[in-house]
Amino acid sequence: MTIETIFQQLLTEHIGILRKVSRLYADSPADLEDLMQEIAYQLWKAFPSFRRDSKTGTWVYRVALNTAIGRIRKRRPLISYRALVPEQSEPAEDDDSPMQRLFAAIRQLPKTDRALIALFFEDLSHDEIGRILGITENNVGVRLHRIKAKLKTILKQD
Amino acid sequence: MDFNEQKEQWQAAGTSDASTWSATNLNQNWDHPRLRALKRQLIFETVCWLLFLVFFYTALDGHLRPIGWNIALAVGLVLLIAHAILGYRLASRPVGSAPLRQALTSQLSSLRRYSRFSMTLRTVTLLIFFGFLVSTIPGLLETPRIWLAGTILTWTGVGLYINYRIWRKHFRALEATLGELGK
Repeated sequence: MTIETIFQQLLTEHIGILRKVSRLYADSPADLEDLMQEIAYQLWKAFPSFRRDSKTGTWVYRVALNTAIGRIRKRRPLISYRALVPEQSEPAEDDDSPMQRLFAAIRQLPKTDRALIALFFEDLSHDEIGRILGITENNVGVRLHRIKAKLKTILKQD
Repeated sequence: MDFNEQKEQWQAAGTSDASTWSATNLNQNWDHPRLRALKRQLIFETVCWLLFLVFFYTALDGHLRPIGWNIALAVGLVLLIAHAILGYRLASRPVGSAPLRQALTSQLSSLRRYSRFSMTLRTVTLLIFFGFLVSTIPGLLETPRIWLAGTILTWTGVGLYINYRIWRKHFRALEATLGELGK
């Protein structure tokens, strides 16, 4: 089995993470596709040094978040579609579907808060979240408490 | 609100059509649009600087100007080509799987180093180019020709300021994200 095949299997298995992270940070459907490709490229680059001492999903999240949050774009689009960015290949979602509303609500949070709540929704422990973001477990707990309160308010308003 | 419902929605999202997407994109060697655009820009810049390097001596009467200015301009142009290649390598470097804070700090520090090199090189090469052009004019620093030196310095200053503003914007975005992690 070639390294490309192994990588393709890994990507197929974890494509949901790429989609979800891209959807949290992309400004438009075209930007979402670009970001997914950028994350796939970065995963491919990092793949040879992946030592499998962490769960594969956690590793994919690390690379995806580093790519999405750290990327520098030359210019932002004049019109932002952030609240409306759909999952292009998913079956058409109603604009008012609970999932669409959840993504729209999370996108209203600051960049690192979006990452934190996404990792919490993946059922990762505070320790794992802290290690992915480079902050203490205690800090994760305090921030999550604040983010959940904020998200609750946003979801109620919507 | 215990967010269990939202957790389920989140975990169910984004899983369809996986094999098609990865197969299509594997055919593209995992390249991505921003790098493709940067590659085009790199080729264009390199070709332009190379053409200028090859032709400036004959086109701009290099034989009439001091040898020092000719050498300085040639070195500046070679460094500009190296600068364009370095910029591409920086943009395409792997972000890796380090913790986010560490990855962003490292990215910010690489960008700062590159920006200092970039701004210094562009400014110095521009000054060398102007120096090369006016090197045959006698008494440049005497009035009334002093205005020419003033104009050159003003335009160089404007170029440097624009460059600095662009870099500062990038740094502020990254610093703001790092600031969020530090709260």
